[in-house]
Amino acid sequence: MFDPTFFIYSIKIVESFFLVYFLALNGTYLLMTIVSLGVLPSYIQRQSVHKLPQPQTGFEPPITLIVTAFNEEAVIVPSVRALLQLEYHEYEILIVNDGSTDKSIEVMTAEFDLEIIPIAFRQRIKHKPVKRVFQSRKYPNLRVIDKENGGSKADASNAGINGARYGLFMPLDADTILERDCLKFLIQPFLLNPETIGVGGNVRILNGCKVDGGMLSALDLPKTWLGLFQVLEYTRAFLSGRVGWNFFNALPLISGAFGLFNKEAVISVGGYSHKSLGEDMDLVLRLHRYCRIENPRPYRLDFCVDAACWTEAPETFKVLKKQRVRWQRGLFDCLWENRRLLFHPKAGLIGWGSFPFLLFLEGISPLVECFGLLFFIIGYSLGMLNTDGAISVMFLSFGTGFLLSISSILLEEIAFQTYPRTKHLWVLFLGAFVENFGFHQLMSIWRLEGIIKWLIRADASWGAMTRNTSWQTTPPSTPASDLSKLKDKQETQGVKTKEKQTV
Amino acid sequence: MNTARQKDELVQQEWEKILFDNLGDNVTVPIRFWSSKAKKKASLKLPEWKEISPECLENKKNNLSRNLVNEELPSFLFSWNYVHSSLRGTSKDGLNRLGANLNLEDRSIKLLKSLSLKNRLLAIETLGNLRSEKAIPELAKLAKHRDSVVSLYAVRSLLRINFKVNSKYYLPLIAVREDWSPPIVAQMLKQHGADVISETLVKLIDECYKQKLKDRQISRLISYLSLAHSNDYLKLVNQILTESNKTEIVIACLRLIQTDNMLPRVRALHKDERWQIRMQVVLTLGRLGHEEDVERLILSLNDLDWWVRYRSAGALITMPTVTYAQIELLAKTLPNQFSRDILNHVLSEIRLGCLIQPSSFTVSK
Repeated sequence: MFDPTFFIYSIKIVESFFLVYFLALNGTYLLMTIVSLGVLPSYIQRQSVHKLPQPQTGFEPPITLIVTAFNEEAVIVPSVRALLQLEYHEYEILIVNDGSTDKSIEVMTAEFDLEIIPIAFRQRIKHKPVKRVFQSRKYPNLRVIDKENGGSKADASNAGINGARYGLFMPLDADTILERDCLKFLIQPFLLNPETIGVGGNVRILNGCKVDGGMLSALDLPKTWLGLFQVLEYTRAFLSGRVGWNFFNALPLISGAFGLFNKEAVISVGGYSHKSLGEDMDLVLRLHRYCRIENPRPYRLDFCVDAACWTEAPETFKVLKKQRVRWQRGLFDCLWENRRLLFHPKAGLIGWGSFPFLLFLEGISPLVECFGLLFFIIGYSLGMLNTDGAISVMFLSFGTGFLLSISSILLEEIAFQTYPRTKHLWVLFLGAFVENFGFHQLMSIWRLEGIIKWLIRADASWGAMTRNTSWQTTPPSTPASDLSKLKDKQETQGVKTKEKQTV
Repeated sequence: MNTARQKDELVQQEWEKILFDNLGDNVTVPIRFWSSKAKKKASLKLPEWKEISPECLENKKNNLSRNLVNEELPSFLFSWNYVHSSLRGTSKDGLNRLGANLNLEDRSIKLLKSLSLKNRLLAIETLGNLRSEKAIPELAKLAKHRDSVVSLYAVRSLLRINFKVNSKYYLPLIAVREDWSPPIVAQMLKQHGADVISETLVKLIDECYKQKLKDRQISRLISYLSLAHSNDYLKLVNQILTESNKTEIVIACLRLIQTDNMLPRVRALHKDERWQIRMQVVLTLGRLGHEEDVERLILSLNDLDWWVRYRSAGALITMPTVTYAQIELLAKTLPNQFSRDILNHVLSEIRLGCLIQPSSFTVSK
């Protein structure tokens, strides 16, 4: 017998669940935003004195920049050129060519005058074999490791860690554009607290901006809605989320595109994981696990909001979908691998705060949102839904999303005023409103696909990220047709250099 | 029409003044929307201040053509300090005269009470650069502030004002404040020169060593001795190296060894079980350059740790008694593959000028 009371009771339970879930998720977001609003202004003001010229003393720890590159022929040269212009007293650039099938090596050889050198390579963490190591004749702080393709960024990063000669390293993507003084800011947490083992920086969207000589020359917002929505997402994630969790020393993620790590600490946890699709988050969670549970000791994973890098975001549905599905699978990979942290007595706020938030609120949010939408449609069409209540929750949800985005824009304004024109702010406000209608829902569907693929353990791969590189105002690299000419020139120069050295 | 516009602008500026004075920089958004014109106008003032500087440096101009209003003070102070930090010696006199004429001393003392941390830091820096004796009581209060940047900048300013007097009270803070940035402490010491700091620093470290502070604190203090005269610190370093067996402290001492006095102790540490110490030993032996240590360095090419091998190869190449041809021969004939590989590696790095130099500062493990 069909019992309508039971059915109505079930619907009430489901409705209550949605309400509790909604309050918990948005409550946490709001808490993080409020914390950021409290913390950020004084932090930025404190950092302002670092903009005054500081003479170098030799007490600044040197840094290795590890640039992982797979088929990055189009962007590798301007990226490295930009890195060579950074304001920091001592750093080396280590490019890890992860078995590229394009002309990355040839382009770099021509541009940076590379020479193969016999290296006693020190392998402390596992990765695919290194074929050869190049040293630039022009730039003593530039080296290239050419290795067999490992199928993941983790493998290439591990080779970079093994090849790094300094105690601190920064993993970077080949398309990342750093701000000239970012290292000066990123190093501060290491100097102020000797227990710091990792620091993350702020990642911004490059689409719409102009890059000249590898450095940012003009700031603008992306020209597409997809790009604009991602600007808002990044602003929310970095200025609210990261700053907030960092305040509680429970930072769950340092972006793989921009972070600075203590090499020994990373080696002690075995480097980046080959298994995980979210190798950056996995590393941070393993560092937490190691320092809190397995080998308890004081440590600090920090976030430095004023050190910024710029990276290209996908602006086509196809590439964006691929990225989001991968991110969601990566999230669950990391949470599953580091499940020991969850409610562990020694895990502190990472195990009792950010980890449960990632798993129970943010991780399953696509599931709840998609189910909620379905529930609403079915319930509405059957006339069994408290329509007023459901619509209220829906509007409240949109309103909260809008409020969170506006708060992030406000934080951005307080701290940086990155986008110079008032028009930019109006566009961002418009984007914050429009993203609630379609974009969020689409993201939820793609992320749900990620969860399903993680559950059924579907084949995982990084896939190729299609680069637009429209932001480059200078030619990206030497055309392949001109390579032979350059090679000839380089060989002649090489002979001359050798003669000079012999003399 | 024009009058109405001017009126609008005046109202906007008035608002900006009220908001900035009471809430610091945290209200930029409403201002930006409300008074974008006034904001643009304010931001245009910065280059104007920068243009003033060359004239001040050449003593052509010791004052501004108009009064400096309070709203402009932070951006002016930033520019003033920016130029000040970029100059050396007497070239700062022109800027200081301009500062005196603009009454920056009193205005900065007032600014120390500002709600904005940025303004307070700028005021601290300005007072130090102006060598303001009047500001000592206020700065002394800030020297023990819990915020590491505020306290460090206050002490830096106090030492700039009068190193001889103020170092007695405030220099010991460099031993206890672990949250102070070592490069800024080093800058603070370096700007006074080795003649001024050597004696005081050595005395301070001697006292701290006797008080048995934490290893990390002692080693950090010892590393600052590289900014002092070696004659002044050698005795103390030798004493600490003889008495202490703590890894961080031994490493810090080994970095400073310049003479043969401690050679027996250094050689005794050559077979220490800690690789970090062995690595510093080979670097020290390379620096001292005695022929009888060549065998030790060749032996270290065989060390279990990569860094010891790498540094041994680098040290061996810099030994005055070893020729390039001998090194090349060694790279071909040594029985151990690791030794040959590391020698070839270092030889090629030296040829390309990319051998990395030892750092004076190590990050925590």
